[in-house]
Amino acid sequence: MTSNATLRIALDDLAGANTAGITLQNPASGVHPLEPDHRGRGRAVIFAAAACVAVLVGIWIVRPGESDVIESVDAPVARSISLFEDPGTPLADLPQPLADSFASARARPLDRLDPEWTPMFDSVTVVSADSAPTVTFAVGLDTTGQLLCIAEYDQVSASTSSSCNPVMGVALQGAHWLSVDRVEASAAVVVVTDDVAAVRLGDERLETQAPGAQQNIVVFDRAIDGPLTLEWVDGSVTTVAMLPDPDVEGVLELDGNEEISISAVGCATTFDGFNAEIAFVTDGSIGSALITEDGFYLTGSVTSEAIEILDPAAVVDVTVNDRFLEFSVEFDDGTNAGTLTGSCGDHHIDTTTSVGSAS
Amino acid sequence: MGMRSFDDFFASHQQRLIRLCWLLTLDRDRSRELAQEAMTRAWTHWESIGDSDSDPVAWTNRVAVNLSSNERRRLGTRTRWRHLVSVPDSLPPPTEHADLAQALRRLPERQRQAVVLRYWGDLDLAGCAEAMEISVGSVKTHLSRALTSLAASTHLVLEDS
Repeated sequence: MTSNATLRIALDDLAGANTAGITLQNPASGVHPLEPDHRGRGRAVIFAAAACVAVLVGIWIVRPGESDVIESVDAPVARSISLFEDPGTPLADLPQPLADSFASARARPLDRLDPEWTPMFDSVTVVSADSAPTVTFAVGLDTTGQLLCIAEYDQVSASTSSSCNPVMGVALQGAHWLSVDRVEASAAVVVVTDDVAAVRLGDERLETQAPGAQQNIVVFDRAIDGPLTLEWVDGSVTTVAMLPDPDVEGVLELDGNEEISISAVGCATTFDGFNAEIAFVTDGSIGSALITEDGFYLTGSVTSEAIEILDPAAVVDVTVNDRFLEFSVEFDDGTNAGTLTGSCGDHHIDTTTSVGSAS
Repeated sequence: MGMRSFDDFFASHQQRLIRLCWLLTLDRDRSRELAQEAMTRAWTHWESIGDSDSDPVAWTNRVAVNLSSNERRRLGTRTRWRHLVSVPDSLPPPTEHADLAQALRRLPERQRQAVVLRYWGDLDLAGCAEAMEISVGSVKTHLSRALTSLAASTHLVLEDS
C-alpha cells in the first residue's frame, strides 16, 4: 500500500467517523416538486429571500454611542448606510461608459455564491468632483443588496474604473472608496456608514453632515494620497488607509527581470478576511493590486507603462501571522508573469481591530 | 443519449457527497447543509447533467467546492478575528486520526481542497483543476505545499505524486 493510499484511507476514516448517521433528503421526492421550467424561478425566489435575509443582517444597525468594542469574536460590529433609502438615478440615464462600468462590475468573491450571478443595478447616486469636472462618479447598491460599487468616468480620457465590495464588509470597515489620479482630474469618493461624522485625508477634513454634504458620501478633490481617517460620532478615530506607509514592504517582480520595490504603499485586509488590497506608489509606479484566494488582479502604471494583470489561476497566499499580514502571489496571465510578495505591519491590524476589537 | 435516474444517483452518491463536504468544511452540520444544497442543485440541473454524456459526480464536486468556498468567505471575518486573538478552532471529536484532522484544519482552504479532491476523491490533476476552477499548475503547487504541511504535523509519510 502506498503512503498516499494510506492518506486516502485516513481521510475516509475521518470523514466517515464525523458524518455517521447523516442522511440527505432526496430533493426529487419532495411533496411539491417543481416542474423543470419553473425550477430556476423557484430557486431564484429562494435565493432572493435568502439575499433579503443577508441584507437585513448586513444592514444591522448599531446605534451611535454604543461601544464599538465587541465582546466576542463572533459578533463583529456592523453599521448601516442609509444613502440607499433614497431613490437614485436610473442606470439608463447615466453616460453610457459609466453605465457600462456598472454592467461589467465584478462581484467577486460574492459570485462564488452562484457562478451565474451577475450584479445588477436599478439606480445609482451620481457624484461630481468640483476640481475635476470631467470626472463623474456614481455609487450603486446591487439589486440583491449585497454589493456596493463605485464607478467613475473621465470624459477627457474616456476611461472608466470601478470598485466593489460586499456590503457587509463595508459595514464592518466603515467606508468604501474609489480614488483616481490623472492629470488635472484627481478625485476620491468615500462612501461611509451612518456613524461616521467626518473623514480626513491627510490634513484635509470633511464633515459628513455639513451643509451641502451628501449623506454617506464624501468627495475629495484629490486622489487618496495620504492617510484616510474616519472620525466616528462617538469621537473615536479609525485610519482605514495609509499612503505612504513605511510599515509595508513588498517586491513586485515582473517577467523575471524587473524588481520593483513597493516600500511606500497602503495595504489592508479587507472585509471577508481573505482578500488583501495593496495600493502602491513608488518611483515610477502607481497602482493597486487585489489578492484573493481566487486569483490576482493588478492595475496601474508600472515604470511608466500601463499594465493590467488578471490571473484567476494565480497561486496566492495571504496569511495573518503574528499581527502581520503576509502576502505572496505567483501570477501568469499569458502576457505578464511574476511574483508579488510582501507584508503589512501591525499598524493595519490595529486599524481593523479598531472597527471591532477582539480583546 | 439516455438519461440516468436521479434517484439512482442520489442513492449511490449521497454518502460520498456528505463525506466530501465534511472534508471540505470539517464541520458536521455544515457538511450536511452543503451536501443537501449540492444534491438539490444537481436535481435542479438534472436535465443537463443527467444524460449519459455528462458527469454529475464531477459537477457535484465542483458545486461542493464552490459552496464550501463561499461558506468560508461568509465566515471569513470571524476567522480573521480568531487569527488575531489566537483562539483555536474547535476540534472534531477524538478519532484515530486526530492529528490529521488538526493538520487539515490548519491548511489554507485551497490546499485542503486540493488534497481532498486528489487523494480522497482520487481525481487526477485535471479533475482537481476543473473542480477548483484553477490551473493544473496551481493544483500542483497547492498539493505540494499541503503535503509538506501534512507530513510535518502528522504521523503519515506522504509523497508528492
